[in-house]
Amino acid sequence: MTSPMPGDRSDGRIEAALRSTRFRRQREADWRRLEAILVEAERGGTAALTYGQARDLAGLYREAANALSVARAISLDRALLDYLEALTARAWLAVYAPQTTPGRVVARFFAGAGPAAVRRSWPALLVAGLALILGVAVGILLYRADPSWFGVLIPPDLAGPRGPGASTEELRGFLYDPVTDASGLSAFASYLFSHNTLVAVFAFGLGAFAAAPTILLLIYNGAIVGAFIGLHVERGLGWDLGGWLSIHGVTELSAIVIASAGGVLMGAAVLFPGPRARGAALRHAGRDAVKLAVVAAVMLIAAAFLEGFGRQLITDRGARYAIGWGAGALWLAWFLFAGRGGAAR
Amino acid sequence: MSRAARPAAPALADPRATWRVETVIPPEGVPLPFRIAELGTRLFAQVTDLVLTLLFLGLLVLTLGLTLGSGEYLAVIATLGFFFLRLPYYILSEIYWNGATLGKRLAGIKVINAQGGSLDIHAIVLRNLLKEAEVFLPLGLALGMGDFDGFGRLSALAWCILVALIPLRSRRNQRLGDILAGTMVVHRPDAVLLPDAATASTGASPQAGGAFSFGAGQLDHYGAFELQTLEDLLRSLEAKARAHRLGPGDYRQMAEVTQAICGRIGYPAVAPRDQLGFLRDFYRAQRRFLEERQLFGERRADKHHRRRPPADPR
Repeated sequence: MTSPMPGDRSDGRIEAALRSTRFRRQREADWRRLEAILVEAERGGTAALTYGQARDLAGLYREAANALSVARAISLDRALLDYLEALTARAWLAVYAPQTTPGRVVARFFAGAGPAAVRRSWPALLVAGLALILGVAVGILLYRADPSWFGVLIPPDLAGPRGPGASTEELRGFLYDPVTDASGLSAFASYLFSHNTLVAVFAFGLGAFAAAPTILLLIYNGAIVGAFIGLHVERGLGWDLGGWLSIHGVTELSAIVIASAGGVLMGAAVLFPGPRARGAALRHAGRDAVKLAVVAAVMLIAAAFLEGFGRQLITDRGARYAIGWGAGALWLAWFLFAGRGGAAR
Repeated sequence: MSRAARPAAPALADPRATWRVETVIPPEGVPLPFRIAELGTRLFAQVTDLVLTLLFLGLLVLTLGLTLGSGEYLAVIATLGFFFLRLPYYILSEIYWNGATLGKRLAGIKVINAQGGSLDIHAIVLRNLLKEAEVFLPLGLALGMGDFDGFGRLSALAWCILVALIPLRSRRNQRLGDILAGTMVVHRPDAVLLPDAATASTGASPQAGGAFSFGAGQLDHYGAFELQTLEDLLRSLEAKARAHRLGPGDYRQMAEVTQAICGRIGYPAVAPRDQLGFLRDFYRAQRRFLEERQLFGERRADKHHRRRPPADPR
């Protein structure tokens, strides 16, 4: 590979040529070949290369890196140095590109990496779940003690006309009547959707601050649900509210818990970094936390569809329970069983 | 020589002076310099991507609206799409094109692993997830998405400003997501092998070269910086000579540089018609001299005989 090029002008006066010039002449053909392979690899990815090209790419890349190293020691030809730097950088990018396709990444995530991360994070999930349950209990107890807590806990635009002031019939109507005003439905659905998405995003993102904001958000949102439950149980509508909440709430609240568990993971890494430095521990925890966030995002999309389409169309209480908890069982099965056999990482 | 050549030397103005260069060390251990992408370039790429996703979303909503026949759920779908179309687009396109979305490809920039390893999926997902949290969501809140009160909006706006300051202050123009994911955005390297100025033959030039010789004392004045400046000048002159387009300005520049060199190294004056040959011969001799010294461990960065660590490529 390093024989002089045919027709080399320097044949007769090789002594006269500079060392760095000879160095360049001997290797230029290989560099050109690497360049040609790179053009193909950059266009179609390394998957588009033939076997021979892929084999040569690795070898020629190391050769170019080696040549760059030597050239820096022996050559002052800036054109050569610039070229070799750019060529080696391009080859480095091609050789160390993510050796996978978007389809395979998605498939691997859903078939293994995502659920495996959820399984690994069970302590964080437990903490987040308990915080939410604690919040619900607090909400119910506060409402029992004094119904005016309802207005304190629940922002008026989330509650709408529902509240301690509304009659039982009105409350029942809210749970079952198909909403005739379409724009009202869309607005409401998208509002609630973005409310819970925001909660999930903040619970995840603020976890890095020692997990305290995550826990507080969970308790607060649990208290909102708890106050709702308290109001409806008081009016004898507990089971009906359960159905109304179940159909999407099982999925949505689980998503919030999972996103919060990601936040708890990061907060725990900051609080208890163990043998690592804090930044390194946070980065390490981030690997699973990010997977939890993606799982939560997928669940939130599903919940939004259940909410937007299912809740107002399906008014039978039993069907609502069945769909809601059925979906919950499906999620649980995914988390528990997906990717157990293979490499789940 | 650069001092004397300055008045007529716009061709020598080096755009690299304003570049920010960061070195990445790949597993092979040879440091590679990358040019950091300017924030304006990144903004251009970002806006292009936003326009593309919004166009796609608009088409989707329009098609759905036409097929469903009513606008009942369109607001929901649009909201959903706004959240959940953008993120997969960024992530999947950066995986597919090795760190470049369509906008980044247009702008000629890409994401790389600042630690020199391969750009892994986790880093891509993390930096794009954080982009949602640090840019899009607070921006949406500040612009009145979700019913936030004045204080909420103000704090969202403050967060936006704070987050925008991070890449301005960071050495590698990294935003928060880049820092946490260990990535940076650089210009795509472009490899063009220019001819060797020591061997470039100019068939059109009357001077064949090789007529001038220099003693060791005469070559002891300049360093690598002057040599490479001369290399740039020679290359532009040779290109013009090949195309028969050497103008009076070029001859004046040649004369100035030649005089400066002769004056410094104590060489007798050179006739104007021999000046290109003189410069070429001097370049060869000077480069041979400096490269030989370098082999013996003596690096000379410039005429002040400053040294530079060998690891630093420039």
